[in-house]
Amino acid sequence: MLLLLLVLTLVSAHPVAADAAAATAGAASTGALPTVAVPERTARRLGLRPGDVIEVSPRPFTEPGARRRFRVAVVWAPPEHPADVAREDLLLRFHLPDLESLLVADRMPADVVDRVVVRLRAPQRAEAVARDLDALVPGVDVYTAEEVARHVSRTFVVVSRFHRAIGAVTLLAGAIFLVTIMSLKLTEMRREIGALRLLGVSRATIGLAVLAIAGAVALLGTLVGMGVGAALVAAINAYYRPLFETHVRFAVLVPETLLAAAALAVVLGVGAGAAVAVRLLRRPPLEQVGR
Amino acid sequence: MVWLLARRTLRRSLSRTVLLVAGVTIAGALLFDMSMLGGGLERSLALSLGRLHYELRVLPAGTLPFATETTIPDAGRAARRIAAHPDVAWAAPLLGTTLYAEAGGRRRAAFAYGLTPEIPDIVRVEGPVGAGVVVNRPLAEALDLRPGDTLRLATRISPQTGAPERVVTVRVGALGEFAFDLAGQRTLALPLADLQALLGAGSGEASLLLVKVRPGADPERVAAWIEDAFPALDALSVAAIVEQIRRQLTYFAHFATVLSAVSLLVAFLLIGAVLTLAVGERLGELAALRAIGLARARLVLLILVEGLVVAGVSTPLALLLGAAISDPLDAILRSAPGVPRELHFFVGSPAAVARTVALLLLTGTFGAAYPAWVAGRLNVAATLHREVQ
Repeated sequence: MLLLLLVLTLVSAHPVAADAAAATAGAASTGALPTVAVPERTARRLGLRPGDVIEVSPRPFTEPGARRRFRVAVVWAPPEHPADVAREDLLLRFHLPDLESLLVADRMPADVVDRVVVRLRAPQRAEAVARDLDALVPGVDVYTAEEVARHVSRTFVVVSRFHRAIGAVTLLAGAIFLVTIMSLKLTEMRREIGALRLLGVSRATIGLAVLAIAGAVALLGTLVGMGVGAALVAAINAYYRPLFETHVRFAVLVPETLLAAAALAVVLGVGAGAAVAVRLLRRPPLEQVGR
Repeated sequence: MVWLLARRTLRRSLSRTVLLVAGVTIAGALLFDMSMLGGGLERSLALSLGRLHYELRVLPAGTLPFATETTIPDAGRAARRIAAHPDVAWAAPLLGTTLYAEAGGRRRAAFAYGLTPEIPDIVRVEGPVGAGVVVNRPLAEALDLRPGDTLRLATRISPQTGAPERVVTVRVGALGEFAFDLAGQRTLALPLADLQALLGAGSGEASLLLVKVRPGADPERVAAWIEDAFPALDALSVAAIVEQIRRQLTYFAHFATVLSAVSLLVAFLLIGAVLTLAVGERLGELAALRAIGLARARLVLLILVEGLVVAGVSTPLALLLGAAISDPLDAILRSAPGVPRELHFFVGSPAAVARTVALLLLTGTFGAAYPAWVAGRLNVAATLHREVQ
């Protein structure tokens, strides 16, 4: 039922990764050397290309300890987790037996791994299998992929919550801005409104016209805001992606955000217009035309 | 007279002024919060590190404290050599690792410090101290421990049998509170030699060395000497550690900058738009003021002062609101995993207050610049003529 995958191991938080910074390109024979895969960012920092030979040790190179030469088999762009983007760890990916033999040669215990990845024939049974394995294998904790994803995403859940809180504050400032502008705009129109009422145009018609104006102003503002937002998203990605040497997108504009922003702006704008219209239409028309 | 006129004008349209002040207050509160956020975590970290009363942390090159499992071999000898430097008061090795703690049939993983008596402040002990290990409250609660109880510590659990391996039984000497514990983190401290023996690190390995510099000595000079004498080690001062993690905190610094700019833009546009429309409504009145002898410069000043008054009234409210909002925002960010309990993201400082006050007052004045320019260009005769018509 289970297919045990123990092909590669990640060493990002491992001494080998730290020492990789000190790894030196060697000129030794590249014949039967074990191979290592190097992510783009690490390759750029160390100036590595496929075919280069590096020397790797679990200890600083100034100290005696096991060291071994590896040939760079491939430089590739691995999928990146946003949580790792700001970290400056260098990463090398070994075949498990090669890494194990290097570590064992440095007095570390044999047959020890950080984690075991399990691929299921029936992924929908992941929770049941995790419970079985938990009971079967003492001394380890078993997590489903969803649990791991939930755990590593906790930081981003918190950041999203923070963004929503900040968004609420800016929304409040924006709403007050909108109400103030709408109030000033419609107050400016009080003479025209008074004149229209004196000509016999009904309050309902004028009210609808005011709402239409408020909606149009809000919609226009929304369109401009969307343009500014899209430009900001492009600018943020253009700045941060080279800064952190990553392909991760830092800002994304999705249709849901656009729809929510448009709906919110129109509702707030029309609401502000309605509040001002009610206040304006309560006044006698003669007062509105200044008599 | 300009102040008087400005105050009266703002009072005359009270509802508009209230809305304007409310808008600028909220934008100002956001500005204050962003001033606290930008660099807040760094300030908080620097304060917390500074409270520990040692200036240098010596680590395997390229690492940060407890960021990797890398250790310093023969740390005792390195510490003795560093302590012999004339500018160094003491140097002590510290070892940190994860152990399994077992008591009353319950087993929990816990972070263990191996400490020497020189190292102060990492753990604050509550109540009387007996011989044995110090455990923090989450670990004591998880295993129902009290001073005098015994617990078993193990370095690993056998995956085949589930039994702890390399076990030592210790007595709980006291409960304590550890610096830089994460929320809910279970921690314990035991003598360095005991932890080294438990781990089989007989040669005296340590995660880092802590170095106290003599009063008046320059920690950076000592750090440079250590890095010269021990090429495989980095000696980090508080400033250097903060600098090392600054890149990881770029997000918050930039986020604060962008939102500060947005809040200033909102305040600027709000003041500018409202005062421009208000000036448009008051052209006749402004022309009359010019006609009775108010100089053009004073008329311009009147509008600028109106902007300044709005910003001035909003500023204390913005500071109060910002301080009130910062607590829940800080609580949200501190709920992220991996954030030590004593660190804060929003850290108030006189500089943050001064920056907010200065920027808001400047924004209020600059926001009024365009309407002031409109008022300054007013054609008195034509405007009065139009008004009479």
